[in-house]
Amino acid sequence: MRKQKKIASLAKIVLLNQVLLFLFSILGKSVGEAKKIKVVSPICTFADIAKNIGGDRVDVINLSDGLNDPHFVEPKPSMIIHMINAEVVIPIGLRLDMWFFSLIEKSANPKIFEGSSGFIRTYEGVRILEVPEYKIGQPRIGDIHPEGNPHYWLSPDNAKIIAMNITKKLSEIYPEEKGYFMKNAEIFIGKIDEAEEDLKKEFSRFEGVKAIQYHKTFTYFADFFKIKIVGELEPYPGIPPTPSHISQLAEKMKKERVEIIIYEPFRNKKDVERLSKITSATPTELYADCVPQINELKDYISLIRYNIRKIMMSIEGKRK
Amino acid sequence: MEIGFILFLALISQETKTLKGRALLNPDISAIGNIVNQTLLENKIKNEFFIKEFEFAFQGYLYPSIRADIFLTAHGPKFGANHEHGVEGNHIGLDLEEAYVSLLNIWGGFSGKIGRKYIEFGKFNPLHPEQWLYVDPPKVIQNMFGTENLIGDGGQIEFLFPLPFLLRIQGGIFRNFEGPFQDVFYSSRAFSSFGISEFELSFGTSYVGGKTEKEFANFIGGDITLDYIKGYTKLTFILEPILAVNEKSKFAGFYSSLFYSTRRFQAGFRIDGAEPHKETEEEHTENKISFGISPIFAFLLTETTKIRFQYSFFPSEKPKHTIFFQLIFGLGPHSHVLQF
Ligand SMILES: [Zn+2]
Repeated sequence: MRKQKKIASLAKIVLLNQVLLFLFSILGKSVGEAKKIKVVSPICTFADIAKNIGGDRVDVINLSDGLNDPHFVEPKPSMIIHMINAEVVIPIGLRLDMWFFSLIEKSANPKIFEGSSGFIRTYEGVRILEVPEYKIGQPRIGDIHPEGNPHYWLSPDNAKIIAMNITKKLSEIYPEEKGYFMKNAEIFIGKIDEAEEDLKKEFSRFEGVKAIQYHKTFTYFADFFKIKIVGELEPYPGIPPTPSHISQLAEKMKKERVEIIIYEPFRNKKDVERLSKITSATPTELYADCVPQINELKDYISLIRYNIRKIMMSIEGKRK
Repeated sequence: MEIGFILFLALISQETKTLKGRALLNPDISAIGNIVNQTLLENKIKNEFFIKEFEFAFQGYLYPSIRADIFLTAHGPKFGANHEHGVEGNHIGLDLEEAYVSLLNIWGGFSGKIGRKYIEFGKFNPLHPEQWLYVDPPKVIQNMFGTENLIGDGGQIEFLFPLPFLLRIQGGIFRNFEGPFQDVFYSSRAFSSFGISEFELSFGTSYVGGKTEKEFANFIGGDITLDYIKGYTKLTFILEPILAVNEKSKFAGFYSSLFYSTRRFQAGFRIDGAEPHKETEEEHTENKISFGISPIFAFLLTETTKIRFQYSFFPSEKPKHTIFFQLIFGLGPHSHVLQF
């Protein structure tokens, strides 16, 4: 009996502990606040753009590593800490980064909820491709692009729009820094223009090249550089390729004389190799996001340059 | 409760607010099917094939800081039950499994939920079957709560601490729906998580307490989770002990599992240890803990479709051996769950 009482009081201790922890933290709430604007981004590209615009006024945190599928980042509880303290979030939207939205939602931070001042609608003004005919909310098997193709940042023109959206919103929240942000935006957009012009010139002789992509990741990128995407290894976005789909695709590729198969490092390379064997199209590994720890992919402009050069190398190797 | 809730939804939906073009009240609709084949091996082989459940989820925002989650489920029979004579467990009909409104921010770091909910007790109880790493629920959950999930009608308040690491506490008052409690019961949970490079270490303590038919019962739970995530490679360790402290009796149990998963498969095992639920005085005298081990393997065909095999061995139980085969498929938008 005594033992039981002991255990019953254990329950009380657990409860008391929880209450104490709560009081403690209320007391500790006013720990020193840094002056920099805290921005949280789901991908390296958006973080890079935000850093370019915000300069030394912002502290940007990127929650993914650029090496994995941005659709399926595993949200970790400890990531919430960044959301609790965030002043601005720059989600991808269009249902690509639902994991990022789940973090926003659980942060109890009304500054960053959708529709609030700290929530930037990054794709405002971007022409979204492949918007499906059916209504949102109607389920469709396996489709992870229910509101259109969400990989819009891989077109440099869209990156400029994203940069402008971030500039506009940051200037609204911090009007005293508007001039600074605008000037940074001008410099950044100038850099993209320059890179665009260079790369388009370099690539001009390859325009019209035909490609297969694994997932609809490079649709905007291909659109911009005039690469003709003939099909995808995935029968539907998010659905892994089936043998029958691969053989159908191979037929189409032979007929259309597709030269390259583009895919990201996290895709199933066996599928790519199988298709390449049948069709002799060159497997070309591209990146969907910048990767801070790899020097030639360290920022957005490097990423675009890397991808376009990789494609040129593949085609040149093939045409030799 | 249900009618009130539906009325509330209807009232709110009069107001068609949009978030810059995107309709607020256009919910995500998804469906999940969970089909199980269970083979019990004792003196003779007994095979059962059943639709474990079919779940429909409606999830969306009523307002930027208010969201609603509704889960309607058609249930199949319970695990471990003897369905030789069919009936009871086999009724097919839609149950309102969960229906709650989340107030994502009330004030400061406070948020809350109102409605019918899976109680946030430990790591396992809040999860829907398609999120389980196992085919059947750990023995300790069934022995403690008498159901596969403890569910309540009520509300809870949550608080996120503004600290350099994650600390969240939650307290709620619920009424029973099915399970151990007679009427009102109380719940609380503290959860903390630390991310160190690829590792994520989480601790939780949970409590539920309320009047059962005979006495006041307390359930205390602890949970430790260690995740190692690198790209698509994931190693997950969970240990969740639960202690029931009633006025006249106490009993304990735990489960623990270790899983290795990639994008294509999950492989791991679960260890169960649980004392039987003691209702009568006679049973009280024998204090036998039943242990079990279950190796589990799952093929992940797509993000929402998987085939899972589980073999469970409980040396002191009848039947000793159970082989499960499970197919789970999903339609509509899904994403990884973030659990506190
Ligand atoms: Zn995609």
